[in-house]
Amino acid sequence: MSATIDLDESGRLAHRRTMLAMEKRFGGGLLLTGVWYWTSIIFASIVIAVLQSRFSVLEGGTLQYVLGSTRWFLFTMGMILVAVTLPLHLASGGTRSSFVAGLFRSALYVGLANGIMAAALVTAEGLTWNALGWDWQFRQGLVPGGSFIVDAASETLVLATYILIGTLLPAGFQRLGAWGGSFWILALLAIALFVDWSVHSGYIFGWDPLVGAGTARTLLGLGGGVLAVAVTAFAVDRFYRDMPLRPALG
Amino acid sequence: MFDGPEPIYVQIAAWIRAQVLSGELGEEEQVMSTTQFATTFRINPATAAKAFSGLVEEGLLYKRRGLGMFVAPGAREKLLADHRQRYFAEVLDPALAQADILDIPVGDIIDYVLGRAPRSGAGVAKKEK
Amino acid sequence: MSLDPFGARLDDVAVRYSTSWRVTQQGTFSKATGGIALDGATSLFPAGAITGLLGRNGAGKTTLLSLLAGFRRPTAGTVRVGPEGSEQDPFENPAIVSGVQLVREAGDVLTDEKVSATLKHYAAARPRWDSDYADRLLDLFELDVRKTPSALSRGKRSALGATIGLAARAPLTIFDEVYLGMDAPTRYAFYDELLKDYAEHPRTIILSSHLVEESERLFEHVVVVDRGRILLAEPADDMRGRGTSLTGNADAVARLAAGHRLLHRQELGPTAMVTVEGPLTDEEAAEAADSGVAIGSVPLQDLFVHLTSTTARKESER
Repeated sequence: MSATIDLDESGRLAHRRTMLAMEKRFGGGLLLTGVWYWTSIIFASIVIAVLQSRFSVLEGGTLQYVLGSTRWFLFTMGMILVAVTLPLHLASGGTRSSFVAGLFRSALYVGLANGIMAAALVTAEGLTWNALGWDWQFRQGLVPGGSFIVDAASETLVLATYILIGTLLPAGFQRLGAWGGSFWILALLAIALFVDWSVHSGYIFGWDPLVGAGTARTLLGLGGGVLAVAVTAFAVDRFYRDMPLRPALG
Repeated sequence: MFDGPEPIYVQIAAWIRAQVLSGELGEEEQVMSTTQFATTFRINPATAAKAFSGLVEEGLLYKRRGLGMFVAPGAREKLLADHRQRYFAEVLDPALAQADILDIPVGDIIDYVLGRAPRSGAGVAKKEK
Repeated sequence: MSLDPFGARLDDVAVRYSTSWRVTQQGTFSKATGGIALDGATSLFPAGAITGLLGRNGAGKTTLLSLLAGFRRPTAGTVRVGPEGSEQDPFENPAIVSGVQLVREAGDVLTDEKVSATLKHYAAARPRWDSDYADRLLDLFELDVRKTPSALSRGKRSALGATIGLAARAPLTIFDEVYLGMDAPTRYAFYDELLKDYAEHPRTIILSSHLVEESERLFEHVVVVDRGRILLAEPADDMRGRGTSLTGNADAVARLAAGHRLLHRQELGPTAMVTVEGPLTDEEAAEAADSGVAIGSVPLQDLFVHLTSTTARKESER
């Protein structure tokens, strides 16, 4: 009788403990590599700015050329880290459920940290360009004319979606086989395109033809981003919640 | 150690009995714990425990709560008595049975035991006939 | 927080693998062919005992252990793991799997990060992890935590697995062929540590092995698995009593062996040495003594080999 109660209690503690350990591995790993990533991004954009100002007229800023790589960087890192983390997580006494919970939380806070970073850089670039009297605009990526918060929120949603999509790619091959996995990539690509299209309205064509520019567009755009995160999160849950581990040979 | 053909717990019990019998393990003296046994001889502690519980049943060891296993008072006497009794059944009986097969007269055996010269020729010579 | 040792039970368990793609530790894909790994497996792993899981390569040991650790679900049958009296299905059961430490041959470590990163993760995830003990074991096995597991020798990687398994202090601790690549002194150091820590921190331990000789004395219980089936699951002493060797005149030996299942037979001219299943009856023992046939016991290793060898199968199928 008391043993059962003990088990329930230790089950809750174990869920939390292993989820946090997983987050530290996965989310922590993403954040740490993010430090290197942002260092090189800032360096690259400064180099581009300096070169452009030397040889030609600066058109609108340089971050727009480099910022789009964040999502692919996180997508790739997510794909690599998830393959290593799942066996480790299960071997250290975690469940798939606490693994998935750790994945969601990691995707959100890593997305948020990088989203804030992107928005801060964009804001800083705008201020610098204005101070130097250059013409500044941001053509790619973020919602045009958005505030810092909208910028950060939209980038967060895109990045969280891409991280989760990264974790879904190997899972697709494992669960659906070679052919299924290949078609699965197309489905993931569709989600990726959708979140970009929705959140970064104005980039490609966005919501503008439907609702025009304004608050409605921003809300619809972000809403689409939330939907994309929710859909990928649902897929992650479905794919990982009963994922078997085959006897590892390598 | 304990590499014989019998089960290991039987060998452990025999080893402790031999130690008590030879006086190496005195009465009221503490016996190695199952853990010490396990780590010293690289065996499962349950195997050592099984040997101990057998010896407790025989009355050779007793358990002091929280302290461990000790040699019971009178354990050596008990072993001696037991071995004396078994000497006849296990050692002498087969020897006499063999003598029967070899047609050695009981008198010769008694003479031999008493250290007297055999009266009707050596037992060995008789066997060859 | 301390939990009682976990017991484990399989009831009529089958595992069939389907052909599928999987992701290796290196992040590449490889095709895995399917097949039956376990079939009608019923067995008990008693709580608080050290059990030897014996079987040849590919017999189904690793699959069986994956079930106990909740790494996968059986295709059919039930798996129960937990403190005696409240065993539960381990799959996706946080209370149970957090109390099961399966050390697999592959290691389940971060191959390309420092050993210390792997240990940090286990320390964070495992509720009863003992860091001081882990440090002592690293010293004992001469493991450099600044190296990456991929840079370690096979033996050192196994020692890392041994360290994780012992320091986790899980109520059910499972070592799957943990000794691979270890040299003899390291293996014995591992056995000694295992026994010492088991005595100080009672728990259930399962050691899978196909090298029975040097580890058989550690076992209180044995489970023998062969071609996906459980051949036997019983106290180690019972298994030792399963075999009797008879050596002597070939005719006399043949007469004595007639009533028993023959496990192994070897003839040297007029002398025969056979291993039969089961102990002899008193009458048979007396008959053996009369006809000069020597009765001996059979080491667990030999019994294991006889029971799982292809010739033994043919003999029994006859």
